[in-house]
Amino acid sequence: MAGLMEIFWTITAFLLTLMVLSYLIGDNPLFRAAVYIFVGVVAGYVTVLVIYQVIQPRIIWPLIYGTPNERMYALVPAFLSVLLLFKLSNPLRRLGNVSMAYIVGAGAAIVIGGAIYGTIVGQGSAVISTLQFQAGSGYIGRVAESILIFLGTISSLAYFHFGTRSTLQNNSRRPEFVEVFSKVGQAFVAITLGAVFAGVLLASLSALIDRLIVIIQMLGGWG
Amino acid sequence: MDENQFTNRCPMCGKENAPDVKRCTFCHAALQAFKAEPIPSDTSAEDDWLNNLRAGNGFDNSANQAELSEETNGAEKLPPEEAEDDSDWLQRLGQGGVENEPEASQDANTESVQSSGDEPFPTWTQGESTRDDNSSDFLSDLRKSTAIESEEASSEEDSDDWLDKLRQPSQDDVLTVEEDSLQTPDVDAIAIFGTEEDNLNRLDSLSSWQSRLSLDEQEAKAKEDTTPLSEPKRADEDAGIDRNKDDSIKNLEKRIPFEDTSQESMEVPSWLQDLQNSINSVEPVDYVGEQAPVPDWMQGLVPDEGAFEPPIESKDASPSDESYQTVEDDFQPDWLQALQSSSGNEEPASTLNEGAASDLLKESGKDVEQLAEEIQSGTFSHDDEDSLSELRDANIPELLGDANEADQLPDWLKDFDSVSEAEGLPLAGLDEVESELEKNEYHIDEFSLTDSQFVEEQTDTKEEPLPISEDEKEGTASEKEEILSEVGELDSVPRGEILEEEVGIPDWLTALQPETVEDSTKATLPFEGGELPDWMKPESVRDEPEFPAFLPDFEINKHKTNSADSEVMPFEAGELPAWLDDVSEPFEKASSGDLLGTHEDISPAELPTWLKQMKPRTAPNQSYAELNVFQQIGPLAGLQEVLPTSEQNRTFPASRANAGKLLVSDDQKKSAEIISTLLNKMGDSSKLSLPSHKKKFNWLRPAMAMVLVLAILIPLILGNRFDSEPPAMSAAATQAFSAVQNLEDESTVLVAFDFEPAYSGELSYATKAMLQQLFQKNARLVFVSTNATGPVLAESFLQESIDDLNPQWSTEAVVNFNMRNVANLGYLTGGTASLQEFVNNPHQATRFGLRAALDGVSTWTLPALNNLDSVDDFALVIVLTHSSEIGRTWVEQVQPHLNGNPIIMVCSSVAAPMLMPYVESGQINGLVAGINNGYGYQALAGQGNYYENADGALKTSSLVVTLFLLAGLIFFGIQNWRSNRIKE
Repeated sequence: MAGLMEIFWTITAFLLTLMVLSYLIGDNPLFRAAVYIFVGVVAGYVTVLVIYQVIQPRIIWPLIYGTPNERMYALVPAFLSVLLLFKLSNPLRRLGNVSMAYIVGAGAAIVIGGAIYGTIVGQGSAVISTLQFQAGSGYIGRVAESILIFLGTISSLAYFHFGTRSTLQNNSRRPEFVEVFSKVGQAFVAITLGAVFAGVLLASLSALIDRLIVIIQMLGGWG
Repeated sequence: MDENQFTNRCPMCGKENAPDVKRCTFCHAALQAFKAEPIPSDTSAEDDWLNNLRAGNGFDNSANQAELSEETNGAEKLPPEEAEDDSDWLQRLGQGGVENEPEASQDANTESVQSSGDEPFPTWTQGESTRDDNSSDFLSDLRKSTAIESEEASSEEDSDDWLDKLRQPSQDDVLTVEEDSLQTPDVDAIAIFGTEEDNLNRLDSLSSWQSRLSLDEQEAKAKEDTTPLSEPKRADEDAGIDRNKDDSIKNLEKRIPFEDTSQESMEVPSWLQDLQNSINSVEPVDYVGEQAPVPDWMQGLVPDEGAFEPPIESKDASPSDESYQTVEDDFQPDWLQALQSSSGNEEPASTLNEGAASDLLKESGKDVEQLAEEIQSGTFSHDDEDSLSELRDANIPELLGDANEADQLPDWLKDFDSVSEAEGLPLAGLDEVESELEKNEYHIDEFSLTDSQFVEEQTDTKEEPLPISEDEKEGTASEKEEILSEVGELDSVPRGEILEEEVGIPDWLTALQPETVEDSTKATLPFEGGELPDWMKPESVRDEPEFPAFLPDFEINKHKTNSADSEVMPFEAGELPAWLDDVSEPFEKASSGDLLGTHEDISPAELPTWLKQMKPRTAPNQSYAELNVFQQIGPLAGLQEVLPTSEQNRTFPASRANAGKLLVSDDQKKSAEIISTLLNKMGDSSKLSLPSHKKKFNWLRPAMAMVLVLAILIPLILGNRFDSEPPAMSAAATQAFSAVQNLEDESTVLVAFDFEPAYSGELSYATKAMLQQLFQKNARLVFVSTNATGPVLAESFLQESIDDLNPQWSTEAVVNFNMRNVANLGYLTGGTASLQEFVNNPHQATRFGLRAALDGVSTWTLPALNNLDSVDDFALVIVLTHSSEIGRTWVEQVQPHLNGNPIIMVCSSVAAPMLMPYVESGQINGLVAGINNGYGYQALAGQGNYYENADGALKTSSLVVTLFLLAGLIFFGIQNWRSNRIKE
């Protein structure tokens, strides 16, 4: 039984793979069918997952079976969730802004806190740690690397700095040193995006290789 | 009455002047001494000439009927020389009026020239005056004198001339007979005639009428009274006279104003003859018809039906002659008919014996001047002398003088006669003229004939009246009514017949004739105002004619019968003149162009080319009935001839075809050709096929895909024959392997499955190898995910890893392993916030794990979660992610709370560059990035079967993709370079 199910799901995976690869000859119904299947399956799975993983254990069960504290604690997300449903109605959509404000506000606060403590402090500490004057091999290299990291960081920030001052000539140009650093930062950004593009390309090739391995295994198993 | 009394009476104003004055002291007209001879009382003489006349001596119908009819009706048969002669004598008349007073005539000419500049004459008259001064001067003179006289006549209530007295009785009679039907004359009709001038015109018209009457009598006799009452008002046809034609008549009156009166007994209507016979106790003529019951006072006045015989016989005694009576009766208003009936009584008194005079001239074939010269030179023939003797015998004044003594005369006629006796005018003038004829041996007939023709000719030009002064309009009512009665007589003259008699027109009028006809057709014939004269209207439209009270019933019935049977048109089709043919067409259908004669000037075939091209071309206009078109849609469906439908065939001319041939320069032609070429090209562009919605198949993409697939399949199938060494792992990957490898046994490891299923192929190698490594460490695995698909992937990877690690494991062994070593906390909803919650309170964040919902087992009761209260209780945190953001979030939110516990990441190649700084900073203790590091980790861990082939496929495919990128970079670089070069 398990073997049949495995064969069924293997054949299903093989067919869906071919359907997705059919996009090489252009948009076609097979490709669209495969895409619709994936989207539908994911949506159904997420709905079931949210009901069983979020709504039922976090709202319904505490309100029904929970203690008074748990019920009171469950009312807040329940109330905010109900307000969020008003977003579906134009006259009452402003009621959902409360929930949205809570979500955005809490999320921004969490992200900013994590970025400050996790990225700025962490990355700054890391750069400073590299500049520690410690004897040993590779000192100059690390210093150069640190300078390069610092330059790259400053220049990249300068590239995304668009603040200008009004002048008599109404020449909205950034300060000269910012312009210089922005050019350097542009190079750093370009290199970074190139590396990201290379990673995307490798990830795509990896996915293609994985699918072709599945096909080869399937065909090899039949052969 | 004093015999041999000479009165210097003005012929224009009729007032007496001193005997030695040559010009009228009142109107400054040239004066002519009139000899007012007493009316002879000898009736025997009157009887002689009358008997001779009736017996046909000299004017016998049987002898001269043919000639008279030709002269009267067909003046065109006259040779041109005669027409010129007519114009000559007419010119002489116009110049001086009296030839024996050359000085006076010269003065008159001089004054006429001066007066012509004072009064605005019609254009044709002015133009003619410039061409022929001799003929126009006398007209101007007459106008001037007439205007002066009209002023005097309007200012002086006591009209002492004989004309006023002549007018008065007839008016009284009219008022007596037709008092109810008497209407105020039209102002326009009044404006046509002046006061004194009108008298002369009236006399002249009556003279012409009488001349025709004489001819009619002769022809009527020849036809043995076939149409006794058919055309009683033919003289009315002369009523078309206007001021212009009156000029010639006035001159004629000036020349022989009363001579015609002396001759009128020769052509007196039958009823007047009967009257004369009754007065003079003379036997009435035998042609007196039946005597109808008439009022007492009309017993002698309306003796018989002969009074209603047409005064002028038409060309032929056609049945249409009967229609004359109908038309003329209809044309005239009631009061005018009554007035005419009454004026007809006085017509013999004023008309001249024109027929006799014309016969004389006709017989001689010479004009008056020639005859005068012949007489003076002694070459006058014997026949002419006979005619003169006959004229001499026709002593009408004597007749009228005797008639005055009779009791049958009406009062007004008595008055008329008494006035004549008292003043010696006008009947006395007849004798004077007769004597003058004897002296100068003039043929009055010539004058009469020419006069009648002239009147007919001038009738056609009455449409352009001269401006009339207010004084002229202020005539007395009696004058107007009487004049209008004569106008009715003149207007009834068919114009076409008048125009046909061109031979008798003077030279200046002959030259004027074509223009006059054309002008009349253009300007006046359309009958401005759209109102047709009665004689042009259908009979049904016309009012029922009213007949005089004295007319017998049988005549009225006969008239009505003739009116009903005969056509109302005054002319027969064959007699219609050319200009009247256009008008006589159905008037409603005649277009303005037809009326104006433009179709004769420019026929459709003679349209200019440019006009032809501009003419819109439309399809033949067929009615819907002919097309048998039915309405197809709408509530009117099925009906015929309702609304225009799409079946209507309309052709719209092309704009270029209608452009016409214009005068353009060469440059303009070139520009037009360029524009035409452009327009043609635009038309061609519309014929181009639109691009199909289906995109053109791009073979480049599948070709590149096939190349890429082949670059992958070949290493996978054939193996990596170029590089058999395992791929080199990065330091971060090695750190990750070391971190796992350095775990203590049965440690609790948190594995976060935060990647999408699409990246499972890239991450599966490192993930499976790492899980199998943890299995070997008997570690407790806690799965958690901030991605919805994470928990399922965790279960899948767990199962695959167990199967790969221990393929011989049974299901129970697997379940037991899972229950003991694995805890799937499930999905952490809320993203970053959930991680913060998870870090702070793992139990609260993951109170209900994945299995709790599915199996009903409390997650935190699982053995893998024992002694776990916070995040730092996990010995190792492994983050499997495809995104740098998720990896950074884990670093930012969780790593600070791990208290130095390692955190490693397995990420895709996409997230690796962004996560490497955290690896470099030590925030991440190991990083396995991409498939290469996965293959290396798998190889390092001693797991997997296809890593070598997969690594070879990845290298081969990466090389192919790099080549593609380079080829594209070169190709598009060259293309851009060329495009930039072209732009430069």
